[in-house]
Amino acid sequence: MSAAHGHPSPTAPTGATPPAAHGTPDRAVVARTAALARLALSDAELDAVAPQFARILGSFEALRGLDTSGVEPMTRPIELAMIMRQDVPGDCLDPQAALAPAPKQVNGFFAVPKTLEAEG
Amino acid sequence: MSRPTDDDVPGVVSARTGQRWIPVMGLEVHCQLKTKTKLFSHAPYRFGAEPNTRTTPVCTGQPGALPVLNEAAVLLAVRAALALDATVATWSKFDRKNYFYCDLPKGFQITQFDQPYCSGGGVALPSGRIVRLTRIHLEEDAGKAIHDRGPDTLVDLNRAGVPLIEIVSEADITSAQEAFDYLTRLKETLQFAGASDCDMEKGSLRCDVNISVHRPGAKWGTKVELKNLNSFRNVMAAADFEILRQIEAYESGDSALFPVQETRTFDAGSGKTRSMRSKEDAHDYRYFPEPDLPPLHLSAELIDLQRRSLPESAPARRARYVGALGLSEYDAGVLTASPALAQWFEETADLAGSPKDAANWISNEVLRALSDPQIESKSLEDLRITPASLAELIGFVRAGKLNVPAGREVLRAMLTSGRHAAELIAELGLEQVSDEGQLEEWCQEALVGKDKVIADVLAGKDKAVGALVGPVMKASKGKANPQVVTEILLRLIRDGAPS
Amino acid sequence: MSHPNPIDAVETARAVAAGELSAEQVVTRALNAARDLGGRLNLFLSLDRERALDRARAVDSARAAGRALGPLAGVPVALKANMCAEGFESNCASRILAGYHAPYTATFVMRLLDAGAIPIGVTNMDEFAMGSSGENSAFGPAKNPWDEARTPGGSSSGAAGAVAAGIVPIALGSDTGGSVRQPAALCGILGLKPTYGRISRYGLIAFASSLDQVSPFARSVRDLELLLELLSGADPLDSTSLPLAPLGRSGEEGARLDGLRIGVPAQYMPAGLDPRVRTAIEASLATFESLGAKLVEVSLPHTDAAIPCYYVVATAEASSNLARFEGVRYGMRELGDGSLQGMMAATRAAGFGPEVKRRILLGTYVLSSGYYAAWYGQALKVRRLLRRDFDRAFEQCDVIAGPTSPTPAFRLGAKTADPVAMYLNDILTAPASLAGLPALSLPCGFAEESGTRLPLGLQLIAPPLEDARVLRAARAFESATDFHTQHPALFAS
Repeated sequence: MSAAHGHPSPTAPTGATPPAAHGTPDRAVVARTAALARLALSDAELDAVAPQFARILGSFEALRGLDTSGVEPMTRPIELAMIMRQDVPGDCLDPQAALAPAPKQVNGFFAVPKTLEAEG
Repeated sequence: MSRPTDDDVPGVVSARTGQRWIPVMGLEVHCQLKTKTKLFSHAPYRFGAEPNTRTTPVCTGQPGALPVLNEAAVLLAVRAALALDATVATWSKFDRKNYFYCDLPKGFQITQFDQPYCSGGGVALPSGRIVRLTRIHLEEDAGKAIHDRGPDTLVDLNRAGVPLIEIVSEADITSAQEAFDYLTRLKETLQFAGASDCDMEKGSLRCDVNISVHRPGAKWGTKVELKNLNSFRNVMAAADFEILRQIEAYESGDSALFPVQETRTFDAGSGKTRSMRSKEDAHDYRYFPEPDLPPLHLSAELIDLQRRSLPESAPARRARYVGALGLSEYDAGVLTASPALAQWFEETADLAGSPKDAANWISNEVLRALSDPQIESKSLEDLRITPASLAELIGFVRAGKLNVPAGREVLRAMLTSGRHAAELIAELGLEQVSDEGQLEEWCQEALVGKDKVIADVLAGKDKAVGALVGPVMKASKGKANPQVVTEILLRLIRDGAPS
Repeated sequence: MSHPNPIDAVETARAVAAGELSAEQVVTRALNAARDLGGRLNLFLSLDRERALDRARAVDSARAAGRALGPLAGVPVALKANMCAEGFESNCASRILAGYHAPYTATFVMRLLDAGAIPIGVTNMDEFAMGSSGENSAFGPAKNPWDEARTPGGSSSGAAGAVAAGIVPIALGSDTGGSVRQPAALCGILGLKPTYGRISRYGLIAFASSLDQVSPFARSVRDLELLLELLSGADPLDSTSLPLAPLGRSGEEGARLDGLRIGVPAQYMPAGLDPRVRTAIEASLATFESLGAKLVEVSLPHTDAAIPCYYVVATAEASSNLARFEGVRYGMRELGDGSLQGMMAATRAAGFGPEVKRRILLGTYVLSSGYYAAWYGQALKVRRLLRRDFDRAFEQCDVIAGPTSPTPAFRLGAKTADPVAMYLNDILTAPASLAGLPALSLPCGFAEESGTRLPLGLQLIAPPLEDARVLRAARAFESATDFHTQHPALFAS
């Protein structure tokens, strides 16, 4: 049992299958990715997008071939210091304003189809 | 510091087979930090507010809104780390944990993945053994989804964005009781550090437990996660049940029944854990560094300042109460039940000039008042007395102006009326009678016809006089000092026969 | 006597303040042009006639009462559909956000309003800013005023078209990989992407957080300078905004650039470059030399990796930023199979267009377990290599120059069959985005095609925080040329 429960190291896979043939994702991988991204693609869409996907990634080979040993990743282009805010309450949205754009609301709550699960 | 070896763990003995099994447990505790506003937005948080009344564009995930870090949350998180002996990191960063759920407004949670703000530390169990901590990190809370109120699931985002620290322990816990003790100690530490209220009922503390069992010396078993535990007792009960369930499963010999890696929920009514319906596929949270927030730098100066301003811990206070203030360990324990109570006691003791008296009055009278339905106060803040007003009352008693029973009566009046001792004593006419002449008169009257008592006292049984104290107190309408009355009675008896 | 149809914002504001024009006149004209010409070219998604006229009348009243006016008082301006402002529909040209009215106003819009500017409506764009032609809009593509059969570029297609067509003198766009610079080039106007963090992103609907910048369009450099001054400056609501004061205008009117070293990377002028583009760029460089600048050869060796790097980083961030569009709190909802997750998947499938879906898939993939290190992790490192290329080049020169776009405006439909072909439009603009550098596109010539004149743009890039430097170089070029005064036949007058 790992000492750090539920917090694997960043490089350890957390359940997805290992990469398919080097750099070319097949239809199944695209389908799994779509599920992960909550995009309900029809079969026709999947048929259309899977080869495009493969082509796009194929065109990115130049990226993967570069030698980046010893290079630090660059998350944002300008180095910034964290700014912090004082712990002073500010204006809240009027609940009507917060709920107005909602597709469905019930008694001051956002309403969604019933789920019995914790996070999906 | 490490987990005890299997040989040193009592474990759980199976009633069925007599075999000893070793439980392995780790706890993940989420604590809400005691800030006024949320972690990344200026919305204030209050448990029980009307739904969706405490939100901003940031915490409802409106497109275009951006997070800004709450400084107070960082400082409290640092204090929590220091109180738990963790090492605070100079540099840490925030990451996005991506998943879809109705209570997660942005579709991702801002948390800390591989560079948390601190690591290490530990919590001492009553036995003295330390349960090590793996890490603590800062993250924002999700909103609340309500499933049992009508045909839809209802979502309230008031809680979305509240600052949390997640405290992950190593798998050092070896029994359900230890889990309970760990939680109790953790709560005390965080409360006294001022970091969190740790009130499970109000949701400011939540706990998930990872449990497996194995035979001594064998490889560790499959880890099962327990969620939705809403009290320390339930944590213990759930752990107890789950340990036995896993033992039974292994002992069945049928590998199809062996525990699987899953998440289970606890049903307090039945006392059982049950599987939460399995999800479609394993989680892939696609963690990546949060581009909307720069890295977090915690300087040595900042950490030092927090360390120096850390409030005194509960164990340190107890030691001081016993050592320097002369209280019993029991009383010290009672008075450190919460930081508010300890603070209250210390102020009263200081103002009254007598820790022991303060301790007595608080333990016996004030705490009892809190559970008295006639006095409508539920907490120290609600009470209509203050350390100052109690200290004043104690002062009167110590000065002889009031006897103890009268003092109790005055205190009761103070609690219900909110008025001060001085005026109440006068109004109720409870001022202690100290006039020796008057006292003697009442004592003489009480001694009339009490030959047996007199004889007993003269024979050396001083205690016999106790029977007469009551009537004298009655005659004085409770205003005599019982000790003085006793002394006078004894003197009168010894000095000569009553006239 | 001032021009009867002042075409830049500074002149418009002056004329209004002087009483030569009423704000109501100016704004009415703009609204009508937006409706008519803008309608023909599909440049606007919505117009806010009533409030714009109210604001205009308020400016006129203030002027009549002798009260102080803001520097842009009475000037009509167009917002992009990914900008949140109370009362406006910010649908990002997507069905998933159709009807969305943000319950708050972006900081940069507040600053515009405080200056007295009058937003007249919201312009068309590629859906969620993903595209280089405007053809990914759910509400039909915008058209280039220079040739209606061609795209104005993207993703800020409508905004560029609105300024090029003279409907408004200034417009706000957003630039993530070239989405303001490229349309500026294709429409013959100026477009400035400031240093990353210069302008607050609070209220800009995010596509790629570490790349997005609010970026203005204008027909004159002085308008860009004024907008930068008004919009820039630290914002406590955006943790990635630079902790600096607003960037004031230099006040210099200097037309000379003596001593300025202009670096021309070999990679930006490759052998296969469209000869018309090459000619225009070389002529422009000669113009700079005549102003006293010196040309220097520099190299940005990793340029080839810029497109893949950009598309991996941007789509990864986008896949996360767009996760909030799932039908729970705002926007469209489709019930699907009736479960919560089913509702989310059906909503997103129905609400997003094909390009957005492709990029979400890409971004999800490059972040997913097992692929992160090889793709996203690698891209973040390559990003640093690209930045180092610039740092080294800037040791030899003060600004870098080259074409903004490899081609002039292309025909609608010409590149929609192959996403990769469309992505290559960003080849010259993406590197400066990844490196966070200030970059500007200015009109530098024309190409002839089928009897139509099509604008060409020159891009200037400076080191981080040197926004003033590109503006100064652009100013000098502007005073030595007249490309910026040219306008298409389809021009609101």
